[in-house]
Amino acid sequence: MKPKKTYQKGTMKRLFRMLFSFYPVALPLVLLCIVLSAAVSAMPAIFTQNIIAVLEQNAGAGWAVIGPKVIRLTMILAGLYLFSLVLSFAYTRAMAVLTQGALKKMREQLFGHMQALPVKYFDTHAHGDIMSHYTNDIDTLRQLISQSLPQLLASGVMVLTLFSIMLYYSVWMALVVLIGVSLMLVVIKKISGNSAKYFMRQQKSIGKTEGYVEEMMAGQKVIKVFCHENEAKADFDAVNDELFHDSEQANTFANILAPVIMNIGNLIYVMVAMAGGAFL
Amino acid sequence: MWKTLIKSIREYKRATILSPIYVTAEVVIECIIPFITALLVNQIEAGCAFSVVLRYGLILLVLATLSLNFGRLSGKTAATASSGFARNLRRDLFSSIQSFSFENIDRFSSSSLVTRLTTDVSNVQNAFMLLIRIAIRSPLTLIFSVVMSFIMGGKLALIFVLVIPMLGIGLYLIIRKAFPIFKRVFRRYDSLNRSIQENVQGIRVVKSFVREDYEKQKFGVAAEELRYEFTSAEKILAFNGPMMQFCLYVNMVFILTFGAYTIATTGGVHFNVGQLSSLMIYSFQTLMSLMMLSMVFVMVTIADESGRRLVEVLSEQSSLTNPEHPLYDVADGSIDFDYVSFRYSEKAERMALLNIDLHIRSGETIGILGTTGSSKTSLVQLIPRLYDATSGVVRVGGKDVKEYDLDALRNQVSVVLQNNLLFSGTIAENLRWGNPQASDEDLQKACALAQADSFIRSFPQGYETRIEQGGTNVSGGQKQRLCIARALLKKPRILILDDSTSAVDTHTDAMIRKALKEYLPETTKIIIAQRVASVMDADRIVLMDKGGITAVGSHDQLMQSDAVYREVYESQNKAGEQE
Repeated sequence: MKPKKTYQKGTMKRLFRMLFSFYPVALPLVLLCIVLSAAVSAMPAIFTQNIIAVLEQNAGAGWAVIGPKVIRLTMILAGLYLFSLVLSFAYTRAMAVLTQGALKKMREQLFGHMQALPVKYFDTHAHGDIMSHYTNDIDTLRQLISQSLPQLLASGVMVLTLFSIMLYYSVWMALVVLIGVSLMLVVIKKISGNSAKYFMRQQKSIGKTEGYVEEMMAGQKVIKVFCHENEAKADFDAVNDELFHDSEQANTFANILAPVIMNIGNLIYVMVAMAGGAFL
Repeated sequence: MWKTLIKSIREYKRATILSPIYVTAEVVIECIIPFITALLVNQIEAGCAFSVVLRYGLILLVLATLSLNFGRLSGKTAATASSGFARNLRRDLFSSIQSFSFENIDRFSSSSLVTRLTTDVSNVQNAFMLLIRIAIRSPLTLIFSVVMSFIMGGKLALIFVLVIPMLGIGLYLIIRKAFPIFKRVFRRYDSLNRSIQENVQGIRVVKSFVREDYEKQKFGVAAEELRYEFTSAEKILAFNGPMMQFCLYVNMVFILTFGAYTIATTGGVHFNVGQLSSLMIYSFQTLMSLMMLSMVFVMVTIADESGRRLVEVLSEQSSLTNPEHPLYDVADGSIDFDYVSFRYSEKAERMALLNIDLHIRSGETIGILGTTGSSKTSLVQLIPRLYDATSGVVRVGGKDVKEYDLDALRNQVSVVLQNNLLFSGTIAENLRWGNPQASDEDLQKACALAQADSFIRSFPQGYETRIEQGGTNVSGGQKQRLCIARALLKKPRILILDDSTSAVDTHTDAMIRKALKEYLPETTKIIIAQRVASVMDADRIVLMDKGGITAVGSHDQLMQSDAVYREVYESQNKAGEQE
């Protein structure tokens, strides 16, 4: 297990280095946009708090007193929102261009490298399996680059911003949240670790199935001439069952992740409320 | 279309039905939680006793645990149902393809069948999982959240009347614009795939002719076309996120301003801070579920195209069927063509064979010569009923080929196809395609006849040597000899060699023919060849041109009577002498 992990880290690093070398100026700019936009997204919490504070301080004072204060706050919020909108529009568009451009370059590098490989490589790898690098694997990368990475960055920034806001308001409450979140992280790590393991297996099974299918389809006429249909079906069932098993496991863990996170979130809310009830 | 597909759910019906039920339970609980939270917040605001807070906390704890478990169950059943559905789909597709006749196979390219069995099935699987989970979840959440918002926020919830249609129309416009582009993207994917497949299959040719740069250039064009289309599709999809944010923001600003107004003017009697925070949670849920719903819509539309391609394969009927009361015994190796005409499809303008009348005795050796396109291959493919004659009758052993059981007929009529193939596996495994029960001695005997035994023995692992996909790691001549041995293992009454020794040197070619003649005197042998030398010692030689027979006779007879034959013989022999 251990050497595999270091290998993975290495590939991620390599992927980043590749992306930055493709777009040395544009990529950092896009990343900056993501960070700023995410930070702004975390702002409403402050404004809600401020508006509630205004309401409570001026309870019974009437709209004439409260109104201007509230409207001033919401106007600033709207302004921030507008800024965040422009940023996020800019970076999603830019990301579309960057992702596809990077994928194209990767495909070309892959193909160029493949042309330089000795014939032995082609003899020892099923053709369908080789082809699956260009389709299934690159497609997975597309999701990683265009969705997962920006999301990861945005979420990270948002978490930091929100946590700083919490710290500002109440250190103790922030600590309660911190305990809850670490609990959440432990559970997430376990689930997503399993999910990742099975998704990797699924990806491999897909390649294997594609390899088998490609060979059989190319030789379909020979199968007919030798009445070899039933044997072909039996062999196919074996790879197919393996793919089913891996896909079932992978999807189960992926599906469970969202309800688990959300409900742990609910539990943390309860914890905070109760702690609030106890401390304040 | 979906009607054909859902037949493949079979043993996963239970999971398919359970998943939406669990989802519904999960959503109901999930929507109650913010309601309870609002009460809790208000209690704390009002400075209630800790025991009250504890009670609400416990209720929330129970609800969250329930929701978590229903979520877990729905996730698990949805994964099982969709993966199982995909497994059955792949199995059904593969079975359907196995029942294809040559005519059916011709209609689908092999690379498109591969895409159907992999990518298309995955698309349908993903859409199916969304349908039994998210497509239930989103509308329920949407309705629940809107209803709850109206209950809690009263008039404030009217903002949804503005925001929901706004987001809905926006999403609709995006989908409508992006979808045709995505369709083009899939076509580009196919062509990229094709260019990779061609390259991988022909890598030896690419390398020996130093065509790597040309191939790279060709691939670059396909990759660039894909990039261009995909970028323009993604650019449109890029509106999605910001638009969602915009609606959410409008909602937020509105609720904050007017929520504050309501609280200020009514003194927080009808509307209070707890409700304000819950209302914000509900509005987020509402917009999120609308967004998810649009995603489901997109995925299902993408899967629609894939589903159509799957149904095409599933509903393809084999153009050849077994007769109701089939014959299982082939009496002898005689073959009769009674005024046979044939064309490859109803739409084909040209007849591939026209009015063939040819009678072959059991045990006879027949050579067939003719230029490319003279339909030599078409003629012999009618014998094991790889295709059906368009008119006229083909008989084997005195009986119409349509009366035989297909497997029984094909086991007696062994064809070595022109583009013959070996499969990945050992040499012995490949040979046993001809006869799974063959002993090691049987294998050696067949290989000795096909002049393959000696080179197989020269490999360090002999008969256990691994053959790579397509047989690329043995030479063309070796491959052809292995294919002949494989066909011989069937011990057929009729053996057809369709240009099967083209890569074998003339000496070995002659040895093979001699061995066949000596050891298989009873077997009818039909040899299609380019070289006159390969057929000149046959009992009779059939000359073909443009789908018809121009002359039949022994070598000596044809040398006398047929000018074309004589000319070909002489030109080939002269070339042979010069070598």
